[in-house]
Amino acid sequence: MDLAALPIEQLLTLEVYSASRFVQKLSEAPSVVSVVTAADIKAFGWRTVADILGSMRGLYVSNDRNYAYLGARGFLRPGDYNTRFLLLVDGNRNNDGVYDQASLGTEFVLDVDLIERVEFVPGPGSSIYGANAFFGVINIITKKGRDLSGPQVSVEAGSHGMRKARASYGMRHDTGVEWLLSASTYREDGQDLYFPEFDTPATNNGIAHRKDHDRAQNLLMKASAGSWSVSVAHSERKKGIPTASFSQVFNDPRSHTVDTQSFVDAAHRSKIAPDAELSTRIFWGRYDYRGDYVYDYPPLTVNRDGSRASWWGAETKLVTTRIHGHKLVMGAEAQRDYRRRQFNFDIDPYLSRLDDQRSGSRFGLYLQDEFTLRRDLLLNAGARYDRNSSTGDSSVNPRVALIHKAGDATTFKAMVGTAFRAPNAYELYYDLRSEGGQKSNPALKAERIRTQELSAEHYFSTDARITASVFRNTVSDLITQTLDPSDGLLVFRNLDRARARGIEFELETAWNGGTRLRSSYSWQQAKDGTTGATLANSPRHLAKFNLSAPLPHIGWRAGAEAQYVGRRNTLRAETAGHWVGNLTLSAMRLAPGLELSASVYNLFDRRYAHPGAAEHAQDAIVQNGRTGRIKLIYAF
Amino acid sequence: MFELLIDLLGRTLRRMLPAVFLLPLLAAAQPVPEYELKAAFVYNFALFTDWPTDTAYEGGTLNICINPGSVLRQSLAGLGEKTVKGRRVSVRHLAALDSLRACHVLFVDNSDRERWVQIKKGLGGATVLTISDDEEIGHDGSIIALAVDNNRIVFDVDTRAARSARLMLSSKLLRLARTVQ
Repeated sequence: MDLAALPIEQLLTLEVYSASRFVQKLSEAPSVVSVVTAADIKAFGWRTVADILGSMRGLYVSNDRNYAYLGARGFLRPGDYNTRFLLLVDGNRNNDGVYDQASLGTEFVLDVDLIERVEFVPGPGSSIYGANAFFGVINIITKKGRDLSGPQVSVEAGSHGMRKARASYGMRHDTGVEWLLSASTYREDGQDLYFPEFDTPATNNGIAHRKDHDRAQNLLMKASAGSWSVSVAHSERKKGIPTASFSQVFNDPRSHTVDTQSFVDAAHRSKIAPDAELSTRIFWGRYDYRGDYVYDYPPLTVNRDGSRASWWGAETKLVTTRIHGHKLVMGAEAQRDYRRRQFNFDIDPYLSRLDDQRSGSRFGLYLQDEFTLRRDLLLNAGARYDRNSSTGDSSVNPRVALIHKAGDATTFKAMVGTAFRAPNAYELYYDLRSEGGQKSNPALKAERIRTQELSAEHYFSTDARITASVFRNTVSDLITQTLDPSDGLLVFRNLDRARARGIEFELETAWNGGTRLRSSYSWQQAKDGTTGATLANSPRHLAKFNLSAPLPHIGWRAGAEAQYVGRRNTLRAETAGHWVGNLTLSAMRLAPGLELSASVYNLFDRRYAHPGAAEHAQDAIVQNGRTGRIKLIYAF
Repeated sequence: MFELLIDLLGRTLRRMLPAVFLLPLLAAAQPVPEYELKAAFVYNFALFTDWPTDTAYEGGTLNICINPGSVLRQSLAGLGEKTVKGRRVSVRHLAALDSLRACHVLFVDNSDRERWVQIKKGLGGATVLTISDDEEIGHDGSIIALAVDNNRIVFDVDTRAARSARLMLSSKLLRLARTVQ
């Protein structure tokens, strides 16, 4: 149909489907950014941020049936709660104040349906973002009121008794006022799981019966008017622990964790001059964690471990192009962690084992300049100064990138930089001196990474791009849990060094009819700096394949996904390399306002496992076989 | 109560599934691709605009310029065989800004964010119909701003910007616009 031949009155009445966008990369950014949009999330039926990130070049995800863990460029330290990734929600830091944890599974604060776009910026981000931007920055941009334009409901049902419902309302008024409200509830009964490590008649023959349950509620409110915007979010997630982690009694129904988080974020953005923009935000957040762990001391006792973190802070940023040939970004950020409480007690009989209350503050100051040296040559240089009161440490982290545009179609980048991660309150102060317990180490200092990367990006046509990148990471003073032989207690120390190097390729293509392909391969090698051994949970090979295409005649779209994760060392042995395939079919418009999608995950029912951590009796944790989901969205 | 409701819905859904797959055959008026439709709008805007009589037409064509990195580039290229008031349409890639003034219509979107301030400076009152499709650029100096509202394309017109570019927009266009400033 030649739309341009139609009269404009008729054009105004036509309904559009947004093309699966071929996202233009920020080719001037000092990193090789990966981007996923709401259209991709829909097309591939992704359910969590971990699902989304797992489709990106160089990333891989582990799941221990309690939390989801992200690995990048060969690093995924068993037992690390994503502390080496900075998670931003609309620019607001989401890592909590006790563990510095980035929540990526069902414990993530938002419903993924409300995500407009996810960007992963690999490499050291400390030169702008400070602590935790160690292996990369995950930037989540949420939907706006205009993206909904009215009420919307969504219901889902899936395998293992999964069901989910969401009600949202979004609106933009002619006055420019825009707002969004959304509430979701999710529940999954989970399947019975068999763990050979516990296969004795006394422990239910290794079967964890109805222990993999998961439930979550999420709430989001957003409003903006003129240059002001406010968001408020709250979430609560309760997850059963089927693995009997941390030497618990197996198959006890009381064993579970609860993660509750909330944040309030108010921002103001204004153009103070035609070539200068100032943005300021104030934020408040809290993250409460509580875990009930069951031990047979004897008697059989429920031990409750937990933390409460609350913080507030402010941030201001100025972007200006006033000086010819320079784009300057400067900013300051201060955060007060006024509550960092950790506790541990036996419920009945009551026995307090730990009650540690701390507070702390962090402060950062940064400057970045994007300097046009020549028409085809850009220098991006920046540095940030950070001060952390809990360690008394201060550090300066620079990043320099030289970006060369060899013609319209090709861009070369050379990047070097450093990043740091300050020890978190858990590593510094957690102290539980029973047998096999753990002691604090307030003398810990920050761990550091030094990164070098070369990349090339070439457009064959506007809609076909290939990216290649080689990198080298050197990590020092890694905070590692170790056993102190003098008293038999676990303690965190700045012990390890590690090195990683690798190469990545990515191909992205979009065709006119709306077909889109994103495919990548990465090879990496991450080794312990002292022993030379390959790190645990570090695959040599990763491959991703994501194809989404409209199905002719019926107006449906198919999203096919395949991922390969190579062989990985576990703490005691290894897990085999595996392919996993997922398929989603979606009808964008069954009837006016009605969308349907059907997904099958692990389509070929492959059996695969993720490496466990020191707290698991399982050396490898087997993942789900084939599961399915059906989802209906209705916009009024 | 809520749980029960979801449970019920889930069960109904599973039962309804086979029927649901037949539904698209019944659905009317399929939606059209966003970029194709936006390109059709760009063409219509040119149809309803009068350029001053002293406008230069090098080679006799009406030039529609677009960033080669724009997602609309392919869709817009399809306008190449059309005419506006007897002049053949030529779709040009605006890689560098030195040929800015040869454009009659300039389409900008998020691929132009970085250079929008430079573009505005470069235009400086030239008789160019600027059409933006980006919420950040939005009304910041462009004559027509496209947007998607409730799955339909809408547009806003800035008559002041049109006046300073010495362009006459037809009253029909102003009538159909979502807002006119």
